[in-house]
Amino acid sequence: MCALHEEDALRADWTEALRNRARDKLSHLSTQEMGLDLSRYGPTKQLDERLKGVASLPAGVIQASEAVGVVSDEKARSGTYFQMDTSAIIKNASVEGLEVMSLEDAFERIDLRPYYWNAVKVDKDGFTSVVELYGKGGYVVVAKKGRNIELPVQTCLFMRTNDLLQTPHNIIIAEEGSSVNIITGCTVMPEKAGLHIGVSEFYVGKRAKVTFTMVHSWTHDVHVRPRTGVMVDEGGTFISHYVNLNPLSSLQMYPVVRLNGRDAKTSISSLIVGFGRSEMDVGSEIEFNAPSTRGEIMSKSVSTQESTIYARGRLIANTDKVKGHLECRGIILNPKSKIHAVPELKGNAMDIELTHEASVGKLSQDQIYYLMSKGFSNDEATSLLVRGFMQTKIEGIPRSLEAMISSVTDMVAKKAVG
Amino acid sequence: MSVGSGETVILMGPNGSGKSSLIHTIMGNPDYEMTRGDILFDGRSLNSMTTDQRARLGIGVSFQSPPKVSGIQLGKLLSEIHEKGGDKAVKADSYTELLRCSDLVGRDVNVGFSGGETKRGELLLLLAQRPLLSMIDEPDSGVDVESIQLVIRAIEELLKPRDSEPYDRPSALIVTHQGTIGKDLNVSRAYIMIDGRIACFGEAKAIVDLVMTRGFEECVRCMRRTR
Repeated sequence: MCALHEEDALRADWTEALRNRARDKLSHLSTQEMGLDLSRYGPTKQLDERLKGVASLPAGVIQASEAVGVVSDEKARSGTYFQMDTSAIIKNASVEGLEVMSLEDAFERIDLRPYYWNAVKVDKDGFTSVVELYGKGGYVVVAKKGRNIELPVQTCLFMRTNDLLQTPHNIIIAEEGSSVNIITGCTVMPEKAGLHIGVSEFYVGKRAKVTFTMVHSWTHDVHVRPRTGVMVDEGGTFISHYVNLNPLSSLQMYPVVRLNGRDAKTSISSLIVGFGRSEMDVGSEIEFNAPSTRGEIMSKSVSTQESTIYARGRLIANTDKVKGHLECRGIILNPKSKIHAVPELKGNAMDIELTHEASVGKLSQDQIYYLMSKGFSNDEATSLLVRGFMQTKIEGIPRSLEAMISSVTDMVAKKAVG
Repeated sequence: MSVGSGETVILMGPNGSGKSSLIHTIMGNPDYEMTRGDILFDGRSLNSMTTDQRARLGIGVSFQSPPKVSGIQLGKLLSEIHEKGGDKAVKADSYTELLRCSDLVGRDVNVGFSGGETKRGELLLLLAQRPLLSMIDEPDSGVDVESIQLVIRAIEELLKPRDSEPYDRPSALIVTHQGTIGKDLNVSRAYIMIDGRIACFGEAKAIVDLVMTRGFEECVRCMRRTR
């Protein structure tokens, strides 16, 4: 199955074994098992154009990408990667110690063997296999040893062509002692349909720190399948936040963070808002593989209209002296919307501390009455409370990012409750 | 029971006698069902009005145990109330200072507040609302002496006529089971509630003195005699 189109050219001799695994995976999968009919989607012709910066993009594209956090004033960014459909049209890095390139460039410039399909298995599922065999583009960001990249790096994966199959493979490498902060926005032109499969692999080196903020804005006819894996080495920190702004057809993602070195830390938060008939299956997993590792997952979901949200979370402690917390909170705003929270804790050692809190339901009637007694209508009280619920305090992120997350949160809250 | 324009009335009674329930019923809390009787405000029946309609008519509450509201800062709620048409002439900052709430406005409403902080926060919001009738539930319980003085000044402020409507004289209904607060405010009448009924009422000083010297047991006995 899945003879989508011509396989992409071999990137390097050593990838042949990976390709075979991907082919093997796909040959055993039916469309039903994939859950999606991929034959509808295809790539588009590669663009040769290379733009200087975001400001050179057409106005409509700038407007749509600004909604997902892209700024055209690149002085406020230390680097930009912009992918239009399947072509990398902007790749800039403006500071020392930072490299921003496309995956294709990276194959020519660095040895990718330690990083390519090591944080996500190539044959994890049909979607990862499709990315290996038919993938185009994706960004590779490298923060060099000891470098503190202060301003954020922005990346944007933009879908312009109808029925596009967008398959970027992103690799983020923070070398020992470095820090980098990435804001990525994925979006689509209004009314377009498509399938976005993005593989992202993160390698957080010893005492390095990566902050990753992902903002999605799709349409009701886009299916989204991100596949993310993160490796965190000794003393490293990985912080991520995800938010979606608009309806989509279906979203399924389950990033896995592996804390592999002593004292590694992670904090994963997400704000999932179900609009329209969106079907969203979102979760995160943290594997504690070394002593003194710490991790938390904070998942917030708000389902409106006829949406369905699965909010998953899993903490797996594989060694002693680890501590993890999972918080999974969902608010249902409409009798036709659904939230299914699935928190899981797995202890494979004894001296561990894993905890979770989960709640799903309507807004507290006590709080609504309280605000109404202060003069707010039922709708105004609901809106205030939903916006309050959505506000997420993320420890350890720069102030500029905090402001950006707060304004994005306000925007999505307005859309959710008017 | 009635509270006149410009009047301050206190409602006393033992724990569990129904004082807070009365306040919730007047405010239209959906958890409380009114089976008979009528609640009138300025001649209009409130019975079929929602809580926010009652608030917009000019009724406000300072709750005894308000819910914690994560994600909404006190200062944010204060400015939202202002925008909604609280008294524009009112300077929120001066009230924040008056009630020593400067360190509270940046915190989520009632989350981790002490007893005194909760009361100060509630009164601050009430001042922003500027109701014609303020119902203040137990402003004097669980509060230190210094906070009591702040609470009294806030209540005095609530009772001042607004610049915009100088002929409306605000009133207050203060629930307390101590009565001492009545001494510091110009209270005209007091009611005593026992087992959900108004057992007695009269000139404030006489009622407060009676309760202070003989306790509510005397009211219960008196009620039995009159029945």
